[in-house]
Amino acid sequence: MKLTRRTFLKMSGALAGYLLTGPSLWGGVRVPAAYAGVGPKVGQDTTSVCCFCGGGCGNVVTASEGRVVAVEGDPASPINEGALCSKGQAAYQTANQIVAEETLRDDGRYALGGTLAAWPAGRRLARVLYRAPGASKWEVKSWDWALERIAQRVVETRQVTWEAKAGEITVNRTQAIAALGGAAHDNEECYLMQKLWRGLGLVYVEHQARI
Amino acid sequence: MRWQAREKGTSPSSSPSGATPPAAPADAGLPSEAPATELAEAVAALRALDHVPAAHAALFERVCAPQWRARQRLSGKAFYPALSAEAASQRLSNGFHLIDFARLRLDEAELRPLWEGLSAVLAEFGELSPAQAERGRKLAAAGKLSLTELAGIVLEGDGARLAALARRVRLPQRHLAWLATFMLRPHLAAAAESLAARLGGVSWPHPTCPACGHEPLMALLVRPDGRRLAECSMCATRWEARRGRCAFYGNEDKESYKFLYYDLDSPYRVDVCDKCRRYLKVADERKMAVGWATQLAAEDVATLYFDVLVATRDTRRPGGPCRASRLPRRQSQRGGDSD
Repeated sequence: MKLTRRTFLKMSGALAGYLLTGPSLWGGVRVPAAYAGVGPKVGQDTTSVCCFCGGGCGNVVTASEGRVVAVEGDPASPINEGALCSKGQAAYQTANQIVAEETLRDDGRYALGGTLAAWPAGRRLARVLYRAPGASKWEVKSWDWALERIAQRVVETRQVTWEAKAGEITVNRTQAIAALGGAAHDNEECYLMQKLWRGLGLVYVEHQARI
Repeated sequence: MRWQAREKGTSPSSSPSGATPPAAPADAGLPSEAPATELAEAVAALRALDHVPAAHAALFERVCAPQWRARQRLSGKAFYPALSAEAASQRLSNGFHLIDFARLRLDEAELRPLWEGLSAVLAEFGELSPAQAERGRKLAAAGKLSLTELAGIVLEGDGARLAALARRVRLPQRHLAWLATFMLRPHLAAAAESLAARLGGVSWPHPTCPACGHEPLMALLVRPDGRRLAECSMCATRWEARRGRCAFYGNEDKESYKFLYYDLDSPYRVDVCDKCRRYLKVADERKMAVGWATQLAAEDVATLYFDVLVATRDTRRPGGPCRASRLPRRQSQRGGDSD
């Protein structure tokens, strides 16, 4: 690193005394050989809140050159004091699993373009895939098709497995369908989902936070 | 510095050449004690680094050895009065650092060896002429230059009085400040150590040291949770400086507060704030070999390339001699104790 006399003097004037302005020490500061010819990079540390459950653990997200390069717990957060659960740690994957291209190959495998060499491509699905009963291949379907199909199956399953009574007790339920809420759902969403499921007669209603 | 030694395939306690730690420098007037193990290890580690000029490692040793020995002599000595927990809590909660400089009992006899030893270092490296170093030594020995007075002037950051003193003794003002700073460091470190119990568990959101009020030298991301601890440039007290924001004035804007680095796997980076023009080098202990006590004073020398890098951005290095010891929002703290 080229060090001008002016820069050196300016710096050494403010030093706590380790470097002096003697001629023998001018220009002596060097960058480690591994970094010679490599320019410094810029990064930012941002404190944030984990995107998963409602615990609200704090994290420190390190970003550089337009991407997240590290996620760790925020030691200053009184909630987690620097710790993160496995899901919180996985926020790094959540941030970096960006699908660049999607291709359904002839062998039925779904090929996705990866954006990071560190992670295997194609680990995160971004489109609906459907494999018909007995089929060996996946088909790409639209959301409209998928939602219609899901509703149809819910209705069919409910009708087939409906229990009006258990012995002498009126139950009006179906035990063939289960529902699972997630931590990314807020209170209002959970309320609506619960209303829907209970209204359909589901009794196996769970939430990730209870597990 | 530790990480780099590990990368080079060396063990923590040896240099690549297998050379033994350097012998104790022959400081005039100082007891003939061997340098502390920590100092020898730090010097050896610096010498093992290819990018650290040999002169820098030598200067580091010459400057640190007298301070290290003074620190050992001062440990356990009561030259700062005891502070009750209540009085300490009151000072800290009001934003005052614990050490009241007016109550610091500096001993001229303890300062003189440091004065002489460090003056010799300046002369050796051409900063003072031999005649100047000798004049300073004689003035101090004859009592015509009060080292406690000099130390007090520097602690108060009184530039006018320092300039007047420099004219009177005919020694460069900058070097008087430099010498006073390094004479004070072992004393402030010992005083801070005696008050360490009063700092435990304290929340301190200010940019300067809670013990002595000086700026940090560097910061450390500690195991296991990565807390950023700033280390005082004078007394080596460490306090938490929350990550993601400027350690000096709390700037969190990502456009103006960032860090510079060369390699994400390296333990070293420098946090830079474009608003206050300050920076703070950071060493990540979690990326270093386990079991070594991190000597940030040596890490500072090993990472001077970062100081050179940010010097081109019109920034001001933290710490250093003759910095005002007052917190930004507070005035003089004389006579604040009531214990």
